[in-house]
Amino acid sequence: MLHNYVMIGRYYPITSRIHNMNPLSKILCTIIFVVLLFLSNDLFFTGLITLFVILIVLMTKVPLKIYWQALKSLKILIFFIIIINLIFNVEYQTIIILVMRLILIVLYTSVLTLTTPPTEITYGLEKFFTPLRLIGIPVNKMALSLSLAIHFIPTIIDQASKIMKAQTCRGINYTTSKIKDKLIGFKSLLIPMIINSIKKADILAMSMELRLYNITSKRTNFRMNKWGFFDTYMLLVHSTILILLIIREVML
Amino acid sequence: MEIKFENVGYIYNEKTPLAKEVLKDLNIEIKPNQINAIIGKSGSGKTTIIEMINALIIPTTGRIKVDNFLIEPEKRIVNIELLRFQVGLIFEFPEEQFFNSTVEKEISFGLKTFKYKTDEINKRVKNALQMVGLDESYLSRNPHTLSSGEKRKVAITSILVFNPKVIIFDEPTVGLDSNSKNNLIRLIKMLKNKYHKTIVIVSQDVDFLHKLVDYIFVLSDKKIILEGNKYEVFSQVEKLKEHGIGVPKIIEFTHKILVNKGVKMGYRDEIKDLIKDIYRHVT
Repeated sequence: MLHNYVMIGRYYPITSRIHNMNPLSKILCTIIFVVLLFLSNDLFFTGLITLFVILIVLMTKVPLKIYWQALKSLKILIFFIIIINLIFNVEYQTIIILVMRLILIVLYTSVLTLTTPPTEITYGLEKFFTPLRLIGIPVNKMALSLSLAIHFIPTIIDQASKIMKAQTCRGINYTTSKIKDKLIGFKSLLIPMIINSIKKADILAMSMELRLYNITSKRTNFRMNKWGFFDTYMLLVHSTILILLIIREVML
Repeated sequence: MEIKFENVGYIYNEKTPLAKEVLKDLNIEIKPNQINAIIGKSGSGKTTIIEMINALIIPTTGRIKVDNFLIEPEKRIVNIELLRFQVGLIFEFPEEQFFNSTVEKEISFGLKTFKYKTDEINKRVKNALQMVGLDESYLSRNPHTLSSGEKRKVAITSILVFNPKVIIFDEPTVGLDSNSKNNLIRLIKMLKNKYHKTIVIVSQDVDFLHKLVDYIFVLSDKKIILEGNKYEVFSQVEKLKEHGIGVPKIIEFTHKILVNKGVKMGYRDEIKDLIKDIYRHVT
């Protein structure tokens, strides 16, 4: 029921070259891509980046309708962006670039979440932030919090789905358009969710303590995510496009 | 009230790589005014079946008749609220769905949603409380501060206020002590005998079911592999074990006597009757 509407952490379990990439290289590529996208200020370059994203989307082998689902949720936001920019007399070219940026960011981040299990993303983030340890930032604590939060997303979705079903049996209509009914529905979902989540967090903390979990001790990772040729290749492709764009901007 | 499954199938996450078929060509007819049970291993699709009776999920193939309602794929159910009113569903750990500050608000919540008048709400709340054996002093209490047995009773009351014709229990004994279990058995028997409700229970607690149910459906490999009254079903010890389903301890004991000593004991509901039989046999 609820799973159909939640796109967060929806890993699509198939095999493709993008799926097999190291999560760290995927995160690095995503960051470079975001910088790239915000530096491109003309239609020609945005068009080229669009072709590049389409190529990557096709390489993932994930059905296009899954990407379409993610894009569909943007329609209201895109509508508002267009209307507000038209009100302020912004050029058509700029509006198109703004809308394309939004669409491309959603598509690219969907590539990351659809081809990487949430736990692997956490691993990638932990590796990415490792240098921050040198300046005293508790990366391992942050990684643990993030990892636990991501691990609990399916549990929380299941729980929300269960509570929604139970409240539906008691007459709550979650699809209603009336604001008052929407608020009652929200309350009936939120309060049990908070109470149950706090209880679960408490039990989890106790069970970790019982198993002598120590946050300060040094840990190794059980994953063997190897950096392959394709990771270097993709990172080089992204970096090259970024460098070319910077040179073009400087020369212009 | 007629509940009939005709060639029902259900696939979770249909048309995705995570697709999982849990039910296939299922045909069930729930016996009215009886206590029906659906047993099977975890993940065999028991909860899916009961959620379909209430149209919380819609079958991917086949159809379900619930009184005058027809639940089938891609068809809108007219007056679905009435169906939900007539079929009460009590989920596993129902107390986890409490969100009101008093027992009274919690119980009357559903009726208020259906726009009942205050007098009628008060009358129904008192009747429902009486049915589960709680007195009116509970109405002003915070539901989160009650014992697990009491919480379960309040959760059941919040469904009984609708006066449904069918009451479905999903794993009702989880987290209950033996005293609360016995109270629950008494309550469910009373709902059937005194108020003529049709009861459907999904549970893995075969000892609890053995004391209670009239008719059993055994679910395995996406379909019903065995059905009948409790004597017929639980006497098939080997078949049940083959499908990873436990049998009540009392049946297990008589079966062991038969296998090891070759003595056939009668089918008994209560352990004290079985002990009398054994004593008679020995002397």
